[in-house]
Amino acid sequence: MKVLIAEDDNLIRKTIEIKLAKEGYEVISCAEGASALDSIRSEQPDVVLTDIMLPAVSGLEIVSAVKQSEGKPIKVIVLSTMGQENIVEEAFKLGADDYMTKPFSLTELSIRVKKLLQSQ
Amino acid sequence: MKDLAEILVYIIVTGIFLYSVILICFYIFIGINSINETREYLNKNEITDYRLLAASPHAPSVSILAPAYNEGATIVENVRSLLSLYYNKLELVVINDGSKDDSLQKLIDAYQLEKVDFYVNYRIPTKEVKAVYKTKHPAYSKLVVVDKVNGGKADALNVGINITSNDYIICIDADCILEHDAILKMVKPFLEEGDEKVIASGGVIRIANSCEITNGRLTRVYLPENYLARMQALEYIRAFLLGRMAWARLDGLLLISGAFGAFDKEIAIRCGGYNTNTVGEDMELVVRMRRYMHEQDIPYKVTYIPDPLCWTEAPETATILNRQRNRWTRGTIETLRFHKKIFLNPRYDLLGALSYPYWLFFEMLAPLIEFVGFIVFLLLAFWGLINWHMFFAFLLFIIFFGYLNSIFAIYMEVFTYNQYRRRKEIIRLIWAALSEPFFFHPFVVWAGIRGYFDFFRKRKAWGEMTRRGFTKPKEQV
Amino acid sequence: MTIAIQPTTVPEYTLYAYTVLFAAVILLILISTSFYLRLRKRRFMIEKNVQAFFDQWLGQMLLGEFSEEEEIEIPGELQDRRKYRVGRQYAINQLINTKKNLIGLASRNVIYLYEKLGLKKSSVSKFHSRLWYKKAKGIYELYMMEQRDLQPQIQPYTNSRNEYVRTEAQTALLAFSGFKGLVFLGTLKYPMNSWQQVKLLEQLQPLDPGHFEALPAWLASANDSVVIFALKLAEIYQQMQVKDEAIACLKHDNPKVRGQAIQTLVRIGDDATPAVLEGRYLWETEHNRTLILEALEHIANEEVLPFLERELENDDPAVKLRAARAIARNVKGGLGILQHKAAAVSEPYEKIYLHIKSEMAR
Repeated sequence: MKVLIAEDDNLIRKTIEIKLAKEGYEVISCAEGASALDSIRSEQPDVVLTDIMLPAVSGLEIVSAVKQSEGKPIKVIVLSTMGQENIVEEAFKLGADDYMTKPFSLTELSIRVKKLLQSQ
Repeated sequence: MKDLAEILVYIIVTGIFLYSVILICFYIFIGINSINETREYLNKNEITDYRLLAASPHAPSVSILAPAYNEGATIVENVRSLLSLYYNKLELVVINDGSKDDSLQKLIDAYQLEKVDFYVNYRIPTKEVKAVYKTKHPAYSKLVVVDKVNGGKADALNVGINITSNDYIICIDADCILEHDAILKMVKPFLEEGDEKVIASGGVIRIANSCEITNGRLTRVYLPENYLARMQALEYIRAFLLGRMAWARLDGLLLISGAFGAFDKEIAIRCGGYNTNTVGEDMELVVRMRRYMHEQDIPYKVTYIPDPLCWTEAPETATILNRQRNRWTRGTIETLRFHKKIFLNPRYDLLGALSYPYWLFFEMLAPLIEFVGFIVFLLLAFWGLINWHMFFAFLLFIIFFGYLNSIFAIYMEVFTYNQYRRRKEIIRLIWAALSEPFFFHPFVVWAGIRGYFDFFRKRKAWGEMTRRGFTKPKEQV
Repeated sequence: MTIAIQPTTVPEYTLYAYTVLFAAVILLILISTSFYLRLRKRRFMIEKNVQAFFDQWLGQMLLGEFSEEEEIEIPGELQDRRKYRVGRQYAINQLINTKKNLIGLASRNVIYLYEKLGLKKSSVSKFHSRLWYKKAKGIYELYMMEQRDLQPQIQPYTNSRNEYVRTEAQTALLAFSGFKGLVFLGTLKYPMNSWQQVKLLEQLQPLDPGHFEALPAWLASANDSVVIFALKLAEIYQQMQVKDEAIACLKHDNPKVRGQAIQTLVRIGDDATPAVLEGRYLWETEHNRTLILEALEHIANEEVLPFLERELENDDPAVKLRAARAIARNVKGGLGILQHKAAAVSEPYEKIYLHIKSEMAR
């Protein structure tokens, strides 16, 4: 199973990467929105984990692109910060499957990824 | 006759000499103030977490106003990049100023825009608004596109001010590249206001030529390869890192660059918005807002952010640069003429005592004085009245002082934000500084003189800057 | 004509001397530029080196389970030596960054590592520095890393003369003791600007609200910014019990306090509030009038309908529009009232009606 992480903070991205790799996922990570869109196209991940605030292309646009793309369905989890409830709402309108608010727990994150993949 | 000529020469030479001495004093003063202000700013914000503003429900609402005229080549990509800026309470207003190309249709297609019924409040009189567009697509909910009859940049910005209902406006050029935290940093000074109302905040413009740009985002900074652009890079460092920083410390800023500046909308409206009768609308608005606050007797402040947040493409050819400088000169003359009441008027405090005179003598009149000085020099040389020893000593003195100023600016660049990290780039920048008095400077002075000619001929050529557009290299592939 | 400095009175050699002086200064600046450039490069390389292994190392460590006795191996680059200072500061910054983004096991491990790496010492020495920006930074690091034992030492700085030290100390108090930490509001001598208030409110956001007993006292504070902050607290946490105090703030001398009171009453007011706001309208500044209309956009009722209909006739188009919005959103059949008006006087009410209608449809 492939998970793509789009997050601009190096350390957080790395940490999530290590956590998910430990759980046995194949992990691809991107630091900004535009390269994430490219990777989603070329790598066809099963789950996309994206921050809402991303440089170049916003997280919402990534949700929208993923959900409109043809091919196999891809699950999307949105990472937001507190106070962005209205944006999360918009993300759901665009078809996001789940969201987490920073600060979040890595354990919870991996459980949510697992659940999403099981529900498929 | 000869006596008269000698007295005249004496007065002129003494005048030029005094002028130089005062200018040098100003530069030293600016240098010292700039160091202090920069250091203080960096210390203050070392641990600032700007991100808490991005999502805070207590942050003020902000509108970016981006006027666009015939920018079809880049508009869709630029809007996408602007939509990804970090800030929740943000609205992006793109004002299509009667473009003759397909800008509007491109926007409609790319962002699924629909016409909405909109009651336009013409509190600032403008050209007619043809239509307002919004989208139902959740990813683009911040976007508002206004289509209007062509009326120039100032008029387009006024339409933007009329349309928006947010607290603050940030005016930019549609083809600017903003750092993703640019809004957060620009908004903070407004929140920090104490007893003095913060009416405007300026930002630094840096030169994007030769930089690596991917997907409307600056990914790597390089010193411009083109000589003219490189000279402007040096000029901008000097102006923004030294000049504006120092004036900000004194709270004497008269100019916030039109490519990136934030304003309190209510005050801007009460002042009547941008003036459409000048080519220097950015400076004119700041001066008018300041004047208004003085006349209303409300304590206020104009702040300034030294972080490199906005990148723009500088003209690379002599013709376009000439037109730009010509326009700047006219803009300065017009603004200072409109507000000549401020000059040495005690009612306007520092504004009248220092800012205005400085701009008058050392910005507006500088090309004229240098030019006249040069003519006088030629005449004196012709009459054989020049003391060549003295002349060379003085010339050398002035040139070296100019160098000192530039080198100090480069030092500040390295010391503060250090965008040019490679040693080679700094050396090239130093070479550029050394060549300035012989090539670039005379060129700029001449452009300024042409500005004077055009001003007096009342020729209101807009001198539109034909931009190359960031995407061009890609399109050629 | 006598002018003190004339070119003829300045001998050439003085000018040459100055030129040489300039040249010397230029040389000096060039040397220090080159020095700085090298220093930057070195610092950059060190950071890059540390980053290369640290992010990976920390990522691994964050997922580990540690018991108190267990000794962890401290990588050479992070040992407590002078020459590793840059690397250690990088480590502190990254730990803080992680703390902001992660909770649970990872966040506990962050603090564990901070202590094990001996980084607390560095933060404490910053806290004891005389330089205000170092002191502020030290406090920041200490509360981010939950070093509660320093609370008594930090607390007095909530009234520090330097606003940055003060703000960090206040934030620290909230970080250590949650809403109880707000006690500093009772003794605060200095104003808090909006930025500082945002910072404090953000610090409170994830916590369990409580301890609002002192709210009435803060609302009556002589420090205007404390009143504003208390009004914000009442608004966010819907402290209905201070409604009367908030209404009293509508008559405060400071227009900013009145403005915040108007906004707060939107959240904690009752059916009588719209009429109360209407009563203040005439006396208010232009800015606060706008705030009242904006408040009525949310809470208007039949009682203020005559007032709103009057404002619909106001000369200012912006006021017209706000009044229309308040009617359409809150009054029963409000949109119908606007439609009626549009039918009677088409210019500009037709456009206003369509504007509001399309706004409500979105």
